[in-house]
Amino acid sequence: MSEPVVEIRHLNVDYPTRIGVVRAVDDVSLTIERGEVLGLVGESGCGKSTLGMALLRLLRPPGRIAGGQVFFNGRNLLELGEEEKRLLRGERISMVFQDPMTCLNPLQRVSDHLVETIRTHRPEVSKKEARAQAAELIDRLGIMTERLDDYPHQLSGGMRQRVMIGLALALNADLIIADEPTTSLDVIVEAQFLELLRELQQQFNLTILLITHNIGVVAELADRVAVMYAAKLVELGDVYPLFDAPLHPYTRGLLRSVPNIRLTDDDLEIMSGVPPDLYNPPPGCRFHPRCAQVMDRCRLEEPPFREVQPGRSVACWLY
Amino acid sequence: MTKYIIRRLISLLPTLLGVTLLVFMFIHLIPGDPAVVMLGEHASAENVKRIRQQLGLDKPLLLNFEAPAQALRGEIGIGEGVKGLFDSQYLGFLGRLLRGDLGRSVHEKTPIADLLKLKFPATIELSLLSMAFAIAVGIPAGIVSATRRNSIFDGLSMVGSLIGVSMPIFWLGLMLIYFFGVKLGWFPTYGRLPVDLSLERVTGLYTVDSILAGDVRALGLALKHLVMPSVALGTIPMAIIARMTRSAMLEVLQEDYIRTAYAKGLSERTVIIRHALKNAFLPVITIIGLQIGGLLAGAIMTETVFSWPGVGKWVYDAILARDYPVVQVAVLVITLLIALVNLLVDISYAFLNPKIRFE
Repeated sequence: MSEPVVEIRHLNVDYPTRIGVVRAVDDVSLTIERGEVLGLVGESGCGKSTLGMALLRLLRPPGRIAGGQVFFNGRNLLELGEEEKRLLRGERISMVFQDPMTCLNPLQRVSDHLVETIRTHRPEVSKKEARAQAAELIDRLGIMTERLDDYPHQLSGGMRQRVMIGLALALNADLIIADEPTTSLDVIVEAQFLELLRELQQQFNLTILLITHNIGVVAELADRVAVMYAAKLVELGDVYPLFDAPLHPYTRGLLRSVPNIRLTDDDLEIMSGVPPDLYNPPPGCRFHPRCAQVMDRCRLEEPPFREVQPGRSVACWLY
Repeated sequence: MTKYIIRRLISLLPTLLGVTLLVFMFIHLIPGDPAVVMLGEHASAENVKRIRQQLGLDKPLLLNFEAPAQALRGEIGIGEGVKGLFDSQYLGFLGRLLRGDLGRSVHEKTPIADLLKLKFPATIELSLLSMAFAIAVGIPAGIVSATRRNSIFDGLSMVGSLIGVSMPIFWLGLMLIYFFGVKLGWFPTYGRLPVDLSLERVTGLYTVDSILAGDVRALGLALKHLVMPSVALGTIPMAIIARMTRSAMLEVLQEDYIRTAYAKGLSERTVIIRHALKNAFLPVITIIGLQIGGLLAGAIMTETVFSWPGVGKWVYDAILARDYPVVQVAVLVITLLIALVNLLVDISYAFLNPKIRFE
């Protein structure tokens, strides 16, 4: 196997607040291989978006990386200076954000957004050339080139999200971090968008970190899935084996709580309890207060995250 | 767009009409008689009466009901009676105004139009420079305060702007005169140019005129005379603009598209200027427009303190002299100016915000 694009080792991210420090990402280790789509799932507040922002080195203050290493194409991201980080963003790592309405500058035309991205990293490209590239790009994304000079408010939600993808694709980034890319789209547009994303991924062999709480989106696109719970990675594996036979009780609960049109509502299980308070996480396994298969050991000792089958890792004392 | 501007200009007319009526009524509420002011307190009743007649002050204020009454009694014809109804001070003023006749100053005995040509550029020059000062200091201060939130600079500039907002103009003016004019002698304390300096009058803006004349010395002197009045007049708008810029920037910097801009790999400078400031400018431009209205009010005090021969001092003197025609015209001009500035601000929205298009 070739060198992974991203290798995260024991990453910790802290948010110091007035009443204490919240560790939003706790000892997470993860690799993303070139050309794969890694789905990162978990409920709101589990740290999945924070992980994405940490990769871009764009954590909002006071958030900070408190430990660990992140290798990107073999270079440790945490040792880069400001200017090096800046040059990485948008060119080598690009980001697709959740809400395309608020994520595009309302005063910039579609062309301005794209040309700006291209010319920031390729100053030698002339304005005219960058504009031509932008036109080609949006054409490939299924937006008529006449819309190049439209402002974001003149575009539909799906189009805006495609412009966001355009920004991510503009410079052939090695890694695209897509943070809830479809959450603000309706189901029809979401399906079209996922279709487009899959086509692009196959066509350009894109490496995507897909952050979402939507299991359906992961099933649609991802090759592998990482499940996060309360700042920790709990399970990691190839998408179908993991969905067919989830190992961690949390993953099982998560999958069972997805509504299915073929099943009655009675089959829909809702996990009891709420995620723990990260100011004061429970000892042992963080899931133990909600776990049906809890053992004494779970209350005291934290389960290590280890490989239990080839390509399948889990943090649970059951295995 | 042109249609919109024309519509706005037409809607200006009723506003201006209302202003003339209001000013006319208010000024007659002030006790005092221009004839008495002119002739002195010991003038004979006969002389006062003669002057009042001369000035048309013996006519009724709004409508002359005496004429139709006479017509009803059969003393004069019906046509004359109807015509006479409109023979009042206010309607006479309005009629002359429509014919382009601004009237004569009671006090200075010269046509108001000539005086206006003389005073107006002085106020425009002072206002422009004050606003330039307010914007040039206020906006950068606001930006730095917002991007270095809670820093020492932020604290100082916000306390400073609070003081600036609360400072009475006349007091600030007097302090400037005392320290920089009298004590340090850096700047002249009154007027627009030394009396012995003559400058060919083209625009009436002395800075522009001196450049046109190629007179560097005059330009320097004109600017020197402008410094303290501009600072006195510009301080309040400057403080308000700084605070507004800061809060608008803080809000915009939280927006998702700022995060996108950083994620594109733009430098902080580019993000702040090209993405944040442009978006923050919309509320700031509104405030700037409103401040220009306040500026003209402040000009009355500033010009009086610095003996600046502009519209503000002119109005002040005219009020003291009960020079009714001058007050009316000057207030009308100021109103017109404020209305035009507001129109300009509204039009500028269309250029700043693509979501606004006037149809």
